[in-house]
Amino acid sequence: MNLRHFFSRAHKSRIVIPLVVAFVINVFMYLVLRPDSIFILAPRLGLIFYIFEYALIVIFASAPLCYGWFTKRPWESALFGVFLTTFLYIPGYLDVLHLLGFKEILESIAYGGASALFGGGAGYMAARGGLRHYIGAVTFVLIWAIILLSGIN
Amino acid sequence: MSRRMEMRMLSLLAALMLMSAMFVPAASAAVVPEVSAEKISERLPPSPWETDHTIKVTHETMYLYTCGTLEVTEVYSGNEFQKKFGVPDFTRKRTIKVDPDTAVALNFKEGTREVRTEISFEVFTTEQDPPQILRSYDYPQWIYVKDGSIYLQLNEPINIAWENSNYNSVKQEIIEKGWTDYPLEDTYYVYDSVYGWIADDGLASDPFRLLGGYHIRIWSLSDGDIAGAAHQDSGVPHHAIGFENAEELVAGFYNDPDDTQWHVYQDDYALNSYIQSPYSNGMATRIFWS
Repeated sequence: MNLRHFFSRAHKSRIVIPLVVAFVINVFMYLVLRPDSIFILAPRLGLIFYIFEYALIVIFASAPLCYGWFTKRPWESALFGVFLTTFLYIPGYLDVLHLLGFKEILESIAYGGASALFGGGAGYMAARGGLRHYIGAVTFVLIWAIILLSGIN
Repeated sequence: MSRRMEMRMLSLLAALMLMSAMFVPAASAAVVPEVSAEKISERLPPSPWETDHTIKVTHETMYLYTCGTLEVTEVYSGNEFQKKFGVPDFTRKRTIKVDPDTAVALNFKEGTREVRTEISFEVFTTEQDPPQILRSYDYPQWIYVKDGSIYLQLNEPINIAWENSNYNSVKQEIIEKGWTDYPLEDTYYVYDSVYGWIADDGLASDPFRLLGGYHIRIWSLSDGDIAGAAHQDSGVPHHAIGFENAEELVAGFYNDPDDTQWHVYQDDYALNSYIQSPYSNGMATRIFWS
């Protein structure tokens, strides 16, 4: 990977755009799925809210794949997947940082790192195009979802 | 993608963000009750049962990084443990995917095993040798995780209890607030003198609690009481970050103007399950139906 080429001025937008899009999507997720919002929305909408939440998580998980598919820019899509996942986990980490010991911090970093890798991988593969890469991208999305579920207790 | 197309996409996303903001009144932050000054039920010196079951063990945590996977194996072992249970150790195993860059940053080398060892004192018991806490308290004190037939006591307290009430009515009040009866969770246990070890029934503010939320595990005990362990979850990966606020939140569900037959007594029963962080005052809230 030619990093100098990738980070040159001409390609600055290839960092800024995925960064901004990932940030905006996460702001949306945060506003809708933070506990305070759920306390308001869930009792009013009932089952519809839960269906909406499931759908939102599925869309969120496949966002890097869609980004790669639309843009066809592999490294930009990989960055998007990494940013998208990283921004998702930051509020949770900030909540618990003061409570965690060395082992928990290590596990959390590994958890977030693995998720970011698979999110980025999904974007990269989808952007490469071709059936083989699309299958790879879908596999990465599924692994991303499995990692996410493994953190829910 | 052309620049114009990119700008359109960004505008669309910004509009989406603004729309989502409209969903959420600014006052929503006031929904969750603040923790007020309260009584504390200090942890008592260990009971004879706890003393008898506290074992000095070597707690070994092994990290093995291979092919993008970090295997974390926790092994509690020692002569005393082997003598008592007839097995060499109690093992908890977890597997986490780790990308190569993170592995390098954390100094994990492919195929290299890293071991951290500490001496610790833990409470262990077996299926046939349950805690005798129910002899001195009306409800279980702590919750347990299971490995085979051995149970390990967790630092997570029972902090709410219902008496003279019906299991379904108790759940109904919580579900009415929009909580789900089917959260994603691990199963934990409490011991009941008649039923034995009982698996929990979970309820949560939402199934995933992706960005945090509230979660309660409840158990229906043989004397008709219902015990609950409520906590606040962080965003994923979940950690318990609050006990008292979750206890007050759930208790509040039984204090609505139309709940004339529910009677809530905040921090009414001393279970001596004080935890410093995340803070738990060791007192259980009791809720009665009349």
